[in-house]
Amino acid sequence: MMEPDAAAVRVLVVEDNDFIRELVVTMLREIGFRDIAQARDGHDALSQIETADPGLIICDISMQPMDGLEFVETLRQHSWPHAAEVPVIFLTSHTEAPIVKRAFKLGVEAYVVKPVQKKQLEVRVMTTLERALARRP
Amino acid sequence: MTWARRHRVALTVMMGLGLIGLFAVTQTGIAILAIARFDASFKQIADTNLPALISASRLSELSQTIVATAPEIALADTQMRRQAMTDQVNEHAASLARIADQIERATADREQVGEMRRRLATLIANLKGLDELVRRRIEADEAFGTVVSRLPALATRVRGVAELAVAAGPGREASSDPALPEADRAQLIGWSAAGLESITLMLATPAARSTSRIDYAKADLVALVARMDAARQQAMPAARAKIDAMHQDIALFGLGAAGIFEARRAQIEAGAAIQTALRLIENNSREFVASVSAILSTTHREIADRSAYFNRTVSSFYLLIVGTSLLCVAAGAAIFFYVRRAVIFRLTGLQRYMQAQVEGQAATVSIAGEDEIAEMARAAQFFVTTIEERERSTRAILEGSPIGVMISGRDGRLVFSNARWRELARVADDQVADLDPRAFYRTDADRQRVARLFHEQGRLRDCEIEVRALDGTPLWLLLTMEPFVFRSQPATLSWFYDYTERRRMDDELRLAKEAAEAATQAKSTFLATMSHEIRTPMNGVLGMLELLQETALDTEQRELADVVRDSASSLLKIIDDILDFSKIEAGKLEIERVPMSPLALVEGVADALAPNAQKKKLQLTTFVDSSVPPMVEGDPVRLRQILFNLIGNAIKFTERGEIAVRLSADAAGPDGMMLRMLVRDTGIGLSPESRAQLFQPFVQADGSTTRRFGGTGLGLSICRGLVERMGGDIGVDSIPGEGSTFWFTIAVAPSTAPVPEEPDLSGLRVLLIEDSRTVREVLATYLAAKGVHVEIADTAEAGLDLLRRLTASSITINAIVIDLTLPGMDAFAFHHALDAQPDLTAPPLILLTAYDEAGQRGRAPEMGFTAYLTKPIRQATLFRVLANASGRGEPAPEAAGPEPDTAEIVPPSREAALASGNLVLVAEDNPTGQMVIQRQLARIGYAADLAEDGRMALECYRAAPYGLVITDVHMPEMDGLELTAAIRDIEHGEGRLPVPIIALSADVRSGETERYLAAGMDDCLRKPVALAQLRDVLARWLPRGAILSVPTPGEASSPAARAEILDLERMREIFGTIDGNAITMLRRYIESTAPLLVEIGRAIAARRAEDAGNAVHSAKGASLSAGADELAALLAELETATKAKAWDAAQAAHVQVEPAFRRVQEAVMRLGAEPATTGVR
Repeated sequence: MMEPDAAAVRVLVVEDNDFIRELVVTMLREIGFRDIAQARDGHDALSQIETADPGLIICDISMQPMDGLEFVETLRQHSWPHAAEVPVIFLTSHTEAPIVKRAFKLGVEAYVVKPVQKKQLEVRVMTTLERALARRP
Repeated sequence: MTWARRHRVALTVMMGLGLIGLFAVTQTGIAILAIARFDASFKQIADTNLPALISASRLSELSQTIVATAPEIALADTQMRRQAMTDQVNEHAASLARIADQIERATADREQVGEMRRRLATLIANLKGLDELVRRRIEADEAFGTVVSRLPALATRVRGVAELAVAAGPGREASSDPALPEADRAQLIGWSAAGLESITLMLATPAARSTSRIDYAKADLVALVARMDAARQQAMPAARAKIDAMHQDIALFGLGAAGIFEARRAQIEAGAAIQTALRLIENNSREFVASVSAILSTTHREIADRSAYFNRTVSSFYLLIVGTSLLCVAAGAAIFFYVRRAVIFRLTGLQRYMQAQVEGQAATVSIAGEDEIAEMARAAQFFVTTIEERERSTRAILEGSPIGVMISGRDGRLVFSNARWRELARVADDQVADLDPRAFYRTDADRQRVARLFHEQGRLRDCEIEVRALDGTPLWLLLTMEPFVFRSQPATLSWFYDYTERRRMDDELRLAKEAAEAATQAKSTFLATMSHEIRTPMNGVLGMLELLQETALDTEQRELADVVRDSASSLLKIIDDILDFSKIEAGKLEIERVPMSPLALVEGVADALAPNAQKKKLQLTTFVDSSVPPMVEGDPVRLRQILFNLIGNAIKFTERGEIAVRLSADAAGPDGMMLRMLVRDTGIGLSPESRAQLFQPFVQADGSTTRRFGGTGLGLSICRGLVERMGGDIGVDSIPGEGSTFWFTIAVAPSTAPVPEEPDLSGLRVLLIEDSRTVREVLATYLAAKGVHVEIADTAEAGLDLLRRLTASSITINAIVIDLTLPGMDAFAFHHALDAQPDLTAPPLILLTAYDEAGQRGRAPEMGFTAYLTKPIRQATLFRVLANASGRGEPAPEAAGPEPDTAEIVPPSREAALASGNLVLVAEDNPTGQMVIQRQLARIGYAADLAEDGRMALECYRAAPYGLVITDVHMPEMDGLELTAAIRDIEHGEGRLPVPIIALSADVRSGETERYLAAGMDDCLRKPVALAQLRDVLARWLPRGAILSVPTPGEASSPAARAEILDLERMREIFGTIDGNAITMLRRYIESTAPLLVEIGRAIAARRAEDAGNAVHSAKGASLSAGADELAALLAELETATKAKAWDAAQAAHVQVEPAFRRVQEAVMRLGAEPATTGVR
């Protein structure tokens, strides 16, 4: 089983609050990621998705004007080759069942509860990457 | 004389050897003598004769030298030379004299020596003479020389006179000498002529070679001198004066003693004498040498004599030595022949005799004679006889032995057997001869086995083997075989022990042992199975009951449920008792050894049973003596069991009064100590007969108690079993009607586990107001041990008095501990009374209440009591409360007050749980069990998937990432252990993080936990599982799961009251420590949040709900992440209000936001200014 190599994966962080976005980026760096792209909201993320070509997306659920779920929905239809399968992790303050169900349907398997804790983020991210690696043909 | 005869051989040999020795010694003596003589003579020659010879030759040499040198003296022309030569010669002469001395010493012949000496003296004298002569001659030479040298000058002067005279003749002008007459002149001329003639004569002297000539010359001169004289006489004095000197000179030169003629004469004479002397010296020398030679020849003769002497001596000695050698050889030969005859032949005969004995042949030996050999022969014969006898007796022993002995020769044939062997083999004496013992083996395989073992090991010991006797009877034998030498042939010695009977008994024993073991095994299996089988449905019953009790029930239902629960609990207890009892009986009870606190244990049990005691209004106190260490190693579970039993019994059988539990320790040794526990009650007591039977199983004090109190009667017997297993003893003392004291002792080991700290109470002064003597004693002892001064009163009134007196003596009381229920004035009244007396300063009041006085307890704080303690009193609680009350303590974390309310928890959905990694997988095959565990999990807030057996569970595990797995151990198809192994395999193979696996087991066998852990599981739950247990285990292994549980609204705590302005833990979690990066981050937070707050303000003012809501939400998230909890809480309130469009509330909340943010800002700035606080990673 291949251990996901953090240094080799590019992550895209989509978060509208500057501070939280920077915090998450810092944490990701501490975890070992070297290549981190940032987007201020869903539109921004979609516009750079092809050039950014991330291996993992971390995205806040509650953003304006396009919230996290809308973003992922749109993303899954995108023409970018990895659009349908790129792993996504949500950041969220609450765990309302309907939101989680929708997220699940969209192939979002994991989420991290805010306030973000580094350990939790690490575990979630690593497990998600492992599963993604395992699924690859 | 017999002695001599008996030792004849020895004596003879000794004599012969002695003789040889004698000859040898003689030879040696002779040799020594010869050498001594030789030595003496040789010394003689070496020391004297030889030196003499050497000296002589030396002498001769020297003589020659002297002779050669002597002429040199004669040749010397100066005294100095002469002296030098003489000295040289004298030296030689001196050497000669020395050598002569040496020779004199070497010779005995005095005459010859004298002769030599004389000649030497002569020689020396002559040498001296020569020297003298030469001296004279040289003198003469010198004198002659002197004169001769002066003659020419004189001649000239004389001639001068003549010339003068002539000159002064006529025709002379003025001369120097005017007054010289003619006559004078003629005289002068005549004188001068004579003078010249004299001189000429003198000058011719050297030609004179003989003294006669000199005489002639001298005579001539005399005539001349006379003429001269005459002339002189005739001359005038004036003229005379001129020539006087010359005249005298001439006279002197010629005629004087030192004159030339005499000098010449001396020369001539001396020369002749010298020649003579030289010849003489030569002669002397020869004579001297001759005399020395004479001496030498004497010496030669001496030497020759000695040589001849040597030769003689040597020859004679030579002969002697040869002679004695021959004698020795002869003697030796003689001895040899004697010894050969007298000793060797006979010894050989003896040896042959012995040899024959060894070979078993008959032989004889001659024992005639009396000497040593004969003795030996007799001894040998005796020896042989003795051996024969011994052999006979050995044989007799063997024959009589109960063990069969058999000796077989190299070819396997029997060479010896004893009676027993023949008996065992069923062989008659006459059948022995042709017997092949190998026929007795049952099978060829047996025979080969024995042969192989014997060959490998070199011997055979106690080999069990079945054989057949000659008549076919089967026999079991213990066979021992040893290699042996029999009659000097290799053989095998075999011992046969009849084993048949023993073997039969062994077989029987073995069967019995196997049966017993099987029975024990069956018992164990029964215990395990029963335990499992019973516990599984009990788990269902109790689990469901617990859950049922947690639901909303009406009063009647609750009563029914309680009763059922109690019954089920009792049933479980009974089952446990039975199982324990069986275990003890089977000896299968294991006692653990873990660190435990005896104090906590005893107080814990008392706490648990306090309600029961309280129900019957019994006072329950515990006391732990200071001799008991805070931590020991023992089995807390079993200890608790015993205490529960004893204290429970005490409560059960006591109607009024109190129950006192007391724990002390006996003397401690290095291996541990004995703890002693007492449970004293004021119950009905026991009669001696009951006491005797009490600890027997199934016996109660009397049959009626069973009916009244229930129980199996096993409790005490189990206690005894446990106590005995713990190395102690148990017993009871009782007075019927007054009460009983149950006691037991157990052995514990010292523990090095750390001991919690206790507050320092030394020097405090406490007033204790308590009516129960037991409680007073307990508290006073505990406090005194901590250095507290305790004042005691047994009523509130007495307490007041005491307090007044103490205050009057200026003694300060730090705290008052007062029981709630006192006879007369109670605690509250006491407190009132205190208040009413302002001159008494009231120290902090601590209330002592019994367990159940909840209602009263609630009044305590209002009534001004600082704290309260519930009975039974915990030592640690007492100290802590007192410490706090008197200002010595640290504020304790939330004390163990009422349990936190279990809020109504809604478990998360499966998807939610799965997404956040908190989904639980349960593998359980029992339907009831499934229901129970699922509901329990839901109750405490976890979502779970269910699998009916291990196989299904494995499938589930493969399909989804579970946060925790709970699996029953015993399941069909694939059990819990196999499942664990499979899961761990997958994890290992795929590199997945290991999931916690919890075992669910009904098995109470010790060692099972270890088995589960070894199989890869992480923890274990024992059925029946209580909610609290499940909660604890899940909290331990799946902590994050608890986050998901959403408490239902209505229970929202108000965090704002407790929230921090800036909780640095957030940043520390990320950065490890509040370093530059962290501060930068916090500054970023301030920078990015400030504009958000501005937007919020605007949006609220403009009533833009959505915008406001978004901004608030964003700011709230950021604040939480940064640790600005106070601000986050305010923003949360604001969010709610905004969502609900409650603008006034929103406004109100917003007003507080600004200052809160400023506070955060300031906190961040302060951080930047201060040096970074060190965080802990």
